[in-house]
Amino acid sequence: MPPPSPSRVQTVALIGNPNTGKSTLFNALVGVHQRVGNYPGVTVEKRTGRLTHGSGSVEVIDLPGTYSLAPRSRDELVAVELLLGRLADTAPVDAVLCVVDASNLERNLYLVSQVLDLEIPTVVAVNMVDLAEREGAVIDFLALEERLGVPVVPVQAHRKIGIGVLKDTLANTTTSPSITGPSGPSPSSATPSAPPEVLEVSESRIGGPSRSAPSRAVFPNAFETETKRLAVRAANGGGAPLPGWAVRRLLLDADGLLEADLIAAENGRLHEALRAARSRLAEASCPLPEVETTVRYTWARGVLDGVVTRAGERPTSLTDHIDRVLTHPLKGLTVFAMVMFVVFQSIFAGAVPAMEAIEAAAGGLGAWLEGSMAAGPFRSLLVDGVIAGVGGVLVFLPQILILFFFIALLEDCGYMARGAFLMDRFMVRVGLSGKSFIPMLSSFACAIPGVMAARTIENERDRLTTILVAPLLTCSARLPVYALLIAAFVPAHGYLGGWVGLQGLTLAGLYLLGIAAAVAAALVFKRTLFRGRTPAFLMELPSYKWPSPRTVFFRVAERGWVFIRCAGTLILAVSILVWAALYFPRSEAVEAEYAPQAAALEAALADHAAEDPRHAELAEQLTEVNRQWQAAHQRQSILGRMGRLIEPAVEPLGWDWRIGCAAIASFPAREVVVATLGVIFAVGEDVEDEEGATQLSAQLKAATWEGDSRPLFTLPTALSILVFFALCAQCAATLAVIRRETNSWRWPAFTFAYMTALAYLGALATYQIGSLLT
Amino acid sequence: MDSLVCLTQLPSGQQAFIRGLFGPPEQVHRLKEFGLREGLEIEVFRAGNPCILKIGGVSKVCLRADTKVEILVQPLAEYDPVAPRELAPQPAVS
Repeated sequence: MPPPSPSRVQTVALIGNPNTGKSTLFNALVGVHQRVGNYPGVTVEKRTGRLTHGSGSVEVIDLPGTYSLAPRSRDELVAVELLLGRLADTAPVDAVLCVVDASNLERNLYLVSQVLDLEIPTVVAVNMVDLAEREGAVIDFLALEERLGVPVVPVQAHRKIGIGVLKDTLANTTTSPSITGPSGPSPSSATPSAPPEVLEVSESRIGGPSRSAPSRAVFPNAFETETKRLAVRAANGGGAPLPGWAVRRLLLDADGLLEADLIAAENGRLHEALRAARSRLAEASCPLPEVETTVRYTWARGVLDGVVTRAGERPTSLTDHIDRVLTHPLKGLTVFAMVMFVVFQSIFAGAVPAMEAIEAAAGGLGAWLEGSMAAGPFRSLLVDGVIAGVGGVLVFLPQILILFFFIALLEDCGYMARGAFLMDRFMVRVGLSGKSFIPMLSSFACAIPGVMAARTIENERDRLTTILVAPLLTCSARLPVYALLIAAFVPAHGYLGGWVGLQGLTLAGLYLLGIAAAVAAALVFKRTLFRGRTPAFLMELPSYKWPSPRTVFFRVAERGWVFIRCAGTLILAVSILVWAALYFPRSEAVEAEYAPQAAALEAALADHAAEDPRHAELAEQLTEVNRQWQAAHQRQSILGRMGRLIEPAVEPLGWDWRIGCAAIASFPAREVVVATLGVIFAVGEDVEDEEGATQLSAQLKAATWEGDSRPLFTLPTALSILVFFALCAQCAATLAVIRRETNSWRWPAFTFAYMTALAYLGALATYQIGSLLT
Repeated sequence: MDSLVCLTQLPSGQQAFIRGLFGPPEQVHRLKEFGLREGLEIEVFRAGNPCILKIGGVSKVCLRADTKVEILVQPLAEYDPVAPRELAPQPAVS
């Protein structure tokens, strides 16, 4: 059985092109023994898992998908840095498992060729062999293994076929630097293992063609000469000697990682030598970086020559038949619209029972605590701060889970790429690509899954733009605010025989306002903050397949967990802060005014038996006094004072300090403004039920400017509040998720600043223009 | 060759060989790393911008190239159908 363990691999990096079924393979290899974290300093997900085999276990790191080791996106950068052993807090890997797509071996071998250069023991897993076979391709795996000089294992990750052999192969791979072959179920010893020094390989190959295709890509003589010269230069420079592959990457990747190292180390002489070498190569008609693709694809074709054969005519695949409809400009768009309708219908309808259950649970827990604890700051903190705050955000968990269930499903079966293709021609007008569509659409349910879904956008500038504008789109949390204010202040005029109502038009207008603001903001950001040429939009359209329940489950669970963790930390903290601002300081005067009243009522209550009709009356009075008591406290709390402080700033919006105060208090979540208005205008907190809402409407209509009899809420004021809440960033959860997804406070701070500015200006314009017209 | 045309001019269903990629080297390199190399046989599955290409008759990719990048192709109809499909030089294999 296996050789003694000292040389056994401990960590394996899983690398491959996107859409090679890498994640499915990862799940098949490690099962539930996986966890997701972040690489230090970046938001790229670090997925690791433990693969167990007969005599031990191996740590598997799933790297982000990449086409090349010359990194462009942040994801690719992480993959490369890890492979090169340059990531802080992550030890260099012992071996690489390269996943390739059996249907597109040539392009996949490009990356394999780069990985082989690294001289790390490598195993190649050829995935989706069933699909390739169905398309008439016959692959000679033994010949492929012989030519690559490393173990090659055919697998079907989604059916878990070949996983056992792959595990054995990985378990038997040894860490010795150059011998990668003598393991696995195969006669791979036919090809000599790669010598430790790449430069020597190439040199020995230059003399004359070997009897089979070389196991490594061969660069032109001029290039190798420069590589050697540069290696000598580096060695003489006194620095650590660079391995052959490193010199090669240094030469190939203009402004690459290694070059950045040189600049950082202020190794000016080597940098100068590097530039000279590059210009000499350009003159010697060996232009960079072109030479790399030429050399590697030539090598890949040589490797595949005779390895892949086509059996007869290629039948038109099922995928092609489906795609004739689904990518059709008209039919495809119709289907896409229907799919999106079903998804959103499910989110809004399907989430209701679960949302009600969460609300009821939070309410029940609050009521129970209220009943079982003595009144005081601590009870208030738990009930009004923690439970109300976190509960109010957790309510959106069902929507988020359902949305991600559909996203995972559509992504895994291959449809998502078609949707992105169809929407690209529309999104490109906003300066974005089709990949931004789903995150934007998701934001109509809730900006949080929208921001999280933006992870699939590889282009960093597009991704940030999408994240920044997603919160402008009308999420479901705005509806309670809209419903209250529209019902109370927008007259129920009907037009066109009652078919079109002014209230409905106002609601539609607010949705349009959100869309228009998002489009405008995206256009502005793409021209200012994220200026730069739009790079080519490249996306694979994977063949359709049945979605794997496993993959879908892991995706949904992962996203749900991210949200719950967020709610448990940042959102909790913000809820407590706002609670404290609304609770403290406790005023002696208020206590002196209300405490005796409440005590007297309580005493009277104790005197009357429960059956006494006076009992119910007194109980009601007591509730009313308690409410007034709380309202009095809140009016002079820190937040209440802040409301007064900002009154001059909000007066041009047609607001008084109470509305300003409610706006500040709604920072954790904008729907809180309804409850806060209820508290400040002393209606009571129960504004959620119908009676309470009607009562609040009546109270708001009756409200006047303080010390004045002018009505506070006029139509322009109501509209100005609506516009403000349509555009503002009053949602701590979204800001917290932006912070998580961008891994910096800069972007949530910027989002808050620009949206608040936009909301203020929008509200100002609405009120001033509205006042002129009325 | 005089029969070269822009990829964007090809109608749906047209097969062709990629003969040259021109434009900013960085962008061209990215396209090549994505698999769109010279000598590759492609089929336009759906013309337009973005378009869908079939590579090697099997895998599909969606492409919206930068306006500064020009992909020149040689339509397959110009060829003798029995001629070898891969015209790019083969590596030295004896």
